[in-house]
Amino acid sequence: MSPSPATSPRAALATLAAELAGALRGQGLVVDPASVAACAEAWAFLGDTLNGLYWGARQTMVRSVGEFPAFDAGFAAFLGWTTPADDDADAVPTPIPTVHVAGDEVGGRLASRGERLAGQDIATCDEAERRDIFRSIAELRLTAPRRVGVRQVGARRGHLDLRATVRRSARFEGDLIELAWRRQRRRARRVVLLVDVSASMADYAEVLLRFGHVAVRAVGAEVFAMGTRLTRLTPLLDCDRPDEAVARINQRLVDRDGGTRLGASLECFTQQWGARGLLRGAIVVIGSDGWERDDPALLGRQMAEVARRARRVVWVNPHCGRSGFEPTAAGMAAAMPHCDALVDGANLTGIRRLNRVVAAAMAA
Amino acid sequence: MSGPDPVADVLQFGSVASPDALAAELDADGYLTDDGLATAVFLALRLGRPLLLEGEAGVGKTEIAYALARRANAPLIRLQCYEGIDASQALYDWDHARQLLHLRAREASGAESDPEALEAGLYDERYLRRRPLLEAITTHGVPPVLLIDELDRADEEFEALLLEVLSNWTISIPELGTVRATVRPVVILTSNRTRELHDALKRRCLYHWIDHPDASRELEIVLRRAPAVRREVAEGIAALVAHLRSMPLLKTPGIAETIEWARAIEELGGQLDASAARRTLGAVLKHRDDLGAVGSAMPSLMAAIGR
Repeated sequence: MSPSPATSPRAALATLAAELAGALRGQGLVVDPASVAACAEAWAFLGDTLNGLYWGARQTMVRSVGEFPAFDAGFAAFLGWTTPADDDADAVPTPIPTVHVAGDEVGGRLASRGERLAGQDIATCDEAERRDIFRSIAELRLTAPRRVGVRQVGARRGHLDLRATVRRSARFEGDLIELAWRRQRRRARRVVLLVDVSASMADYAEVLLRFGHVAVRAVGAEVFAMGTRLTRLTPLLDCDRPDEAVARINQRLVDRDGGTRLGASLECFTQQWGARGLLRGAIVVIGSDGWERDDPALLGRQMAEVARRARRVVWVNPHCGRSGFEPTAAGMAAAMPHCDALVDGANLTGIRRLNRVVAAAMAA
Repeated sequence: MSGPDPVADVLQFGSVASPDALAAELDADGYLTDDGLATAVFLALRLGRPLLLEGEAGVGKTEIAYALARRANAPLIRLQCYEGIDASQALYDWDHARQLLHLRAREASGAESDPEALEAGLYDERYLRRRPLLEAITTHGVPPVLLIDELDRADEEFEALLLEVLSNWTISIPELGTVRATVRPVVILTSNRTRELHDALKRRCLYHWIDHPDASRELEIVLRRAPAVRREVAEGIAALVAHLRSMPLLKTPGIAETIEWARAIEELGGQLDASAARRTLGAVLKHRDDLGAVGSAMPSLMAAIGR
């Protein structure tokens, strides 16, 4: 089974590979011409067994484990085995790792009113209870461990930078006259919070905005509102009192409680802010119930983009704590495969958990 | 694409005509592959492309590189990635102490007093410390297996550096000029997928995801790697581990843990029952919460595997 020098089998394989690429694109995969060529080349080495065709194509055309189901569907369609699977089967999200955080339960000690409220859905709370919950959120401590990075930068003090020192000493015939120093750069991961402020989130958005206030004050997070368009909230949240911050937002945010265009808002975010490097290595928290007015495919693509650039993507959904929760909202189903963690955003316990998840991700 | 011809360079495997034949070679070394992995490694050798292996910890991503190198009698060069790794740890560095000695020696002999010439003398190959990537492309003789391990731990910037080396097969050293590859190593990259790698890098690679082996293959692996373990014990352990992997654990056991567990049971007399399994659980689970959860579920687990 050595590669044939004749060009016609090669050309036939290339045609076949291009055909498969078409079927895969039909499943939403991105297949570039170089992958098609690589696939044809691989097939030439593997011979025409079914195993060879399958592995040769998957290993050259797919770049992520998350794309395997789409690949399998496209491959089957290419072989003419089945019609492309209908949407129901496709919508099954790949399982996302559960977040395990120890110490969620409040122990048997005297629980304050806030503690008793911890598990209660914020939408069912009266005004006094909501204020208690808001106070508890304001008391959250989000500490960013300023990790000492391994990477070093030039500095006035720190460790001796031998490479630079040797270079300088050559000017003085080997005498160490000028010393160069380096020190380790300190840095913390950036936190980006995107809050859905549409009508369906009316009861829950404020909790997340108050968490945003904590995050802005504690670790310099960036906070954006997603409604019919994208609005940067960071400057509004950067004040001492959370009530004042929320009042400023209510006053300024005109598209509050309208429809949601999650995909378009995210696209705006990745293009305007992501392009400037805000997403690189960041912890991205998205607070939304996943109800999308537009085509969920756009949201899926944008989430993939966010997931590619960010370090961790955490989705906070106020409905996911309910028993029997399935990501049925089209937007949620499209977004789930790209999330690292899913956190309940309906009550104080969920927000505390979010706080721990973010803190843990910053340290990781 | 520049650089040496990949196929001609991988002489040891020049005669391996198919993934099956390669699987048999690796099998002879004690590494059991499946169709997918054998095909992936075969293609990496034949197409001369880097192979990116992803999968959970402990499925044998790193081990395949070692097995391949042993079987090919090729040197293995390993680059362990970590956060903050940069060119001076991955490509090259200068031996500063010897450079200073060089300056002193020149001064003492009075041979050179022109600072420019003195500086030029510093950046000689003699004072160059070859780090794994430079080492891998400039060795002579058998092309090495270059293992770039846990790439997801490194920063994104490091991927760009790696991409440059893996696509041009050259390394530029400002003080010395561009170093061209004399051999094309077999490159295996691994990632635990704690983050998504950059698309540009993935585009250069073959991609394969290694799954946990099923119970029957894991049984074969245990028998192979721990010959002292009786088949009956190994069967039970493989079945138990398959169950553990379906539980929501903090840390899913890998193959090495399975082998350790089977060994532990064998050491305790080879009787696999609930109490022996519970006492040796530390060999397979490395997290306190997991120990608690599995320990209390042990009777039902034993029932599930029919013990």
